[in-house]
Amino acid sequence: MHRIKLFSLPVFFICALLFPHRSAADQPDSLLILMQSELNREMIELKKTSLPPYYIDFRVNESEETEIRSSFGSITKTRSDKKRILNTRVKIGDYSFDNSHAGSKTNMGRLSGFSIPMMLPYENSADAIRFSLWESTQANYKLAKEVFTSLKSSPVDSTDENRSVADFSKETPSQYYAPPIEPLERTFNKSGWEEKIKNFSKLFLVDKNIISGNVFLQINRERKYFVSTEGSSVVQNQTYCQLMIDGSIRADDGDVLPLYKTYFVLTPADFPTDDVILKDIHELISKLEKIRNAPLADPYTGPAILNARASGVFFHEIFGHRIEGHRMKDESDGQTFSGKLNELVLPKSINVIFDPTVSTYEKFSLNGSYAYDDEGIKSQRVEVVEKGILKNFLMSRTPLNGFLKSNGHGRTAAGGTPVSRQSNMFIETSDPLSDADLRKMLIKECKKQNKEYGYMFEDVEGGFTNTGRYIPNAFNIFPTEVYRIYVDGRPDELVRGVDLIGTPLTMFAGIKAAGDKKEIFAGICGAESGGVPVTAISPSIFVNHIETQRKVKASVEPSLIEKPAPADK
Amino acid sequence: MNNNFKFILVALIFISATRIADAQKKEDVVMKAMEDELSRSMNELKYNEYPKPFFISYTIKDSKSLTIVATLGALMYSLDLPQKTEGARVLAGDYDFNDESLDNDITSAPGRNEIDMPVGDDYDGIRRSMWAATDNIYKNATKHFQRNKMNLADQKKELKDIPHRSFAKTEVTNFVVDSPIISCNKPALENYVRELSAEFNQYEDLISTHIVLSFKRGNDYFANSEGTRVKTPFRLASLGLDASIKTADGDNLQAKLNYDASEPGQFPSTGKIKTDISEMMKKLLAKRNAPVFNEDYSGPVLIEQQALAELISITLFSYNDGLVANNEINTGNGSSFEQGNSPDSKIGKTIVSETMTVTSMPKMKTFKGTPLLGSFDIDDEGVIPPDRLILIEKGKLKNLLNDRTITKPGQSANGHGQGPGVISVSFDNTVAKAALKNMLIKEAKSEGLEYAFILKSVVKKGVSSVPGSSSTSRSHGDNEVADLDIYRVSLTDSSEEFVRSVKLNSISTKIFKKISAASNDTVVQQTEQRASATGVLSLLLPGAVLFKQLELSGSDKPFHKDDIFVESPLKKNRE
Repeated sequence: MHRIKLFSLPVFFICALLFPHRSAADQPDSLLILMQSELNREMIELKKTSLPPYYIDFRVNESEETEIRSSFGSITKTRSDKKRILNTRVKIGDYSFDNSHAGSKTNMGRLSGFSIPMMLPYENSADAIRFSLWESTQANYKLAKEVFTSLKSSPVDSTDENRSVADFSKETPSQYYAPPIEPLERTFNKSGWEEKIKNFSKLFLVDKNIISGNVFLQINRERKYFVSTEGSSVVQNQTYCQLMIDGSIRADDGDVLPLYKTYFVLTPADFPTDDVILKDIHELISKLEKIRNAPLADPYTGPAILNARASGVFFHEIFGHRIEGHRMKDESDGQTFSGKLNELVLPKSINVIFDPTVSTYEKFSLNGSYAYDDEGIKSQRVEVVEKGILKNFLMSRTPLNGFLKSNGHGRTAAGGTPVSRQSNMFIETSDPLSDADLRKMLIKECKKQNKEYGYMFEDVEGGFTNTGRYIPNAFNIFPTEVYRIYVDGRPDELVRGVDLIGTPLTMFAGIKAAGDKKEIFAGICGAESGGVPVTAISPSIFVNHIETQRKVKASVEPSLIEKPAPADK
Repeated sequence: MNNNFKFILVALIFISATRIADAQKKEDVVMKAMEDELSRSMNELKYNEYPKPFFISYTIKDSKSLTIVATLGALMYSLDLPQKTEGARVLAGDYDFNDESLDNDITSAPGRNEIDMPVGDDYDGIRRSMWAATDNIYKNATKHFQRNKMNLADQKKELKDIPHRSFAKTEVTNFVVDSPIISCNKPALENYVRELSAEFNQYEDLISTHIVLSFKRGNDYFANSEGTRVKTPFRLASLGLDASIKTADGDNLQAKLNYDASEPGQFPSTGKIKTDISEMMKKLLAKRNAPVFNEDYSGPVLIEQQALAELISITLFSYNDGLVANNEINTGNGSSFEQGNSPDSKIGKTIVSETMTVTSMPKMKTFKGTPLLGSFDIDDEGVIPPDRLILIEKGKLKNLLNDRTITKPGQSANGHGQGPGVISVSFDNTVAKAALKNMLIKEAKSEGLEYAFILKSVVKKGVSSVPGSSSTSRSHGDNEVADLDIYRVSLTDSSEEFVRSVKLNSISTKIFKKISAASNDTVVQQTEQRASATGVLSLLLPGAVLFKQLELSGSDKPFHKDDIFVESPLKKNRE
């Protein structure tokens, strides 16, 4: 048996906005000038063609990124680079019907709204920039033309509900210019951080059952440029700073149990002190050791409390993705909330708000914040659920019946095509209960349902949901820390091997109360337009009926010989 | 590979005496970590009732990879990435019958408990990484070996009577060349690439252009439980320049320049490369009005050195095909190799023209002053190859390049675990190069043809790709050739005319069956070859070879006539 092993580590990252405090009236930079002049030239020239576009935009994501990884006290990756990704969107037809029209079943039609990304030079040589913008426009105009021709030549589908709604919303052009922020190398001590990260991950060597002990630092400075033929010109900055710690321990039955701790900040200087991080890692290791000896849980139905962080992920996955507006135009989507506008979808005490305009919450940075979305639309606070009643959807420039304008939630990763995505989600309750009261409710409900115990989901690592209609419209949340709360007063019992599963409407109907303390769950949400940074700020919730299933179990055998002892021992 | 490449004579793998002395004083952390963990694993590994491993080997590639990409005078990407990658092999059983013997599923997937290899010379980290990998691979190997034993028992046959894989015994070697990983002046190289890419700004008809410079350097480490220790430095710098234009009828024409050297300092001067760019562009632009070939041709073709080298590389030395021994065994599952197409079955048979001889000479360092970049002294399994290994003699297949895995009787480990390095291709029927064209015309006439062809160069796919862009994966034969620089030769006045959109059909070893003559010179061509130990295949071959009968046809690549919608911003008259 043999193996050649190459590095192929998964990349996790978390992001936040850095709003510059300087005036937007500063002198535009040369990239912006080049983008605007080439955009004008392209539009003027393409207007002369037989199938002229009615809209073009250029979006450039310029990133400067440093990534350092360590494992058990060794640096396993260190990299710093910069790049620019260009995406050109060309629209042919008009606002009511264009090459992004959804629902076509032809091969070309399936590419509706798609655009081809490419790398752009990161140096502002006029010839090189203009040439790359031209190359990209050529390719994307050609694609748009072929898709539009295919859509127009397809027989009119009388069942196409999207025909009654425009394909692209009319919006007021935006003007925003943030001056550049300092390059990373001037503000970030890379070698100092390498040493720190080595020392952090070294702590995992303490327990022979710990099979992975990793620390990952990512520092990213991003500058986003957006210009459109409607006259929008938006230049904004973001920084992405994340320190992620993960450890996994092997249980005696071979199962592998992970725990995570993530710090998200705007700049490296904002990270907690080393003492705080070291203390947190010690706590994480201690928790790993406890989980290792925890019993495996059997499938369960009954009452549960989702603590604040777990509840944030739950709302993001199960609720948030279902109020992303563009899904209501997708025939293959389950469209859970399509016909539920102005109906009660959550308890009357619950409000759900998405607000990318807020950059901090109780001194914590929120990574779902931005000044303008990736379609150049100013970010807006959107009250999606008021007193339990569905009032709104998250909208990009893809309109819906009754929602003809964007509310600043058209988002994408670099190189993608924007669709409606989540930002900072706030779950609020008009009737907050203390943790003790939630616990009392749980025990009371357990007794009513004749259950020996209920569940408390303390922390989760993430989850996924299927919003399509071809397979069940279900969700799966991956808890990392779960306790049984016994009705007879026995101490809470840590268990392992639990996944929280269900279907959305049943679960929403089961939410009976929410807590008075909120926590922040920050992460990168992956969907059609790639990974975008999001935050959920949520209280704990009490649900009268949840369902769990056994988690996929690993079967890692114990090592045959001890991990080699460090040379200095 | 451009033949105008100007090499500077330097000792590639040896450094100054002072540096060697310094290196010897300092213990090599990587080798020490490999040795210590190897020794501990051999002594202590034991899995239930199963036997200990009889063989373990570790490989570490300790490298730095610089990639710089630019277009039209501006950088798009620039990264010098340090990296260590490891490989491990753990065998259960014995040399004749072990866990790899009876099926083709011989790799072990990484386990959940594996640990990444450190970037630096981190003794503890390297040991931990090797320890975790060894543990997983050994467990899988022992289980696999038990399964093999049961399968063998079920078959009720002697091992010698069924297709199987064994592991060759080889001599223990100690081959250590100390050389630190050299640093490079990244800002200077960025300027160099920037300056060269700016040369293209003057060509207003371009539809695409990039320059990619890569410089990979480092050390290959190998240690095994038999006692072999190897440390060899590697350095390879490549510079690729490409440009595309569009013809009036919508054909995309592409031209490329490639330079390979041990270090970027050995690339030709910027002045020389600028001249090459100018010539390349002049030639490319001149091709715009060339006729399109849209018929079939079957007859003699004269192939010149660059094209000849690429065709040899593609047909004779692709992974697990041609002259590289294939390690698959016939398990009855029906893959092409299992159906009797294995090159091993052709040993002793005539497979190409009886005038053709192919010899591996991996240790040859230079040829007439030109450094041979594919040269190696020891393979990636620590086996020293012979100075000369005849692969084909007068058309007859004599040997295949092989590693320590033996799948057929008569095979042996011959120090080519990672493929070819330096290969000589010669022919008995030679004439002066100048006479070949006349022979071509004469042969075409005798066949009643209207014209003949000279193939001067081929562009392979997937070379000098831009990081992040979709790259073309390499496969065998026709699919690897992107474009031909081919000329139609008049049989009346011997004039040459470039023709567009030509495809060389059925690219395989069979094209070498009928060779009319070869030129009596020997030239060096160096081509990227992923199956080779160094990433480069150095070929010593005639400057041109006349193939008696090749088949050409019109290419099926689509033309897109009307897809320049807006004039390029490089057009100077746009103001």
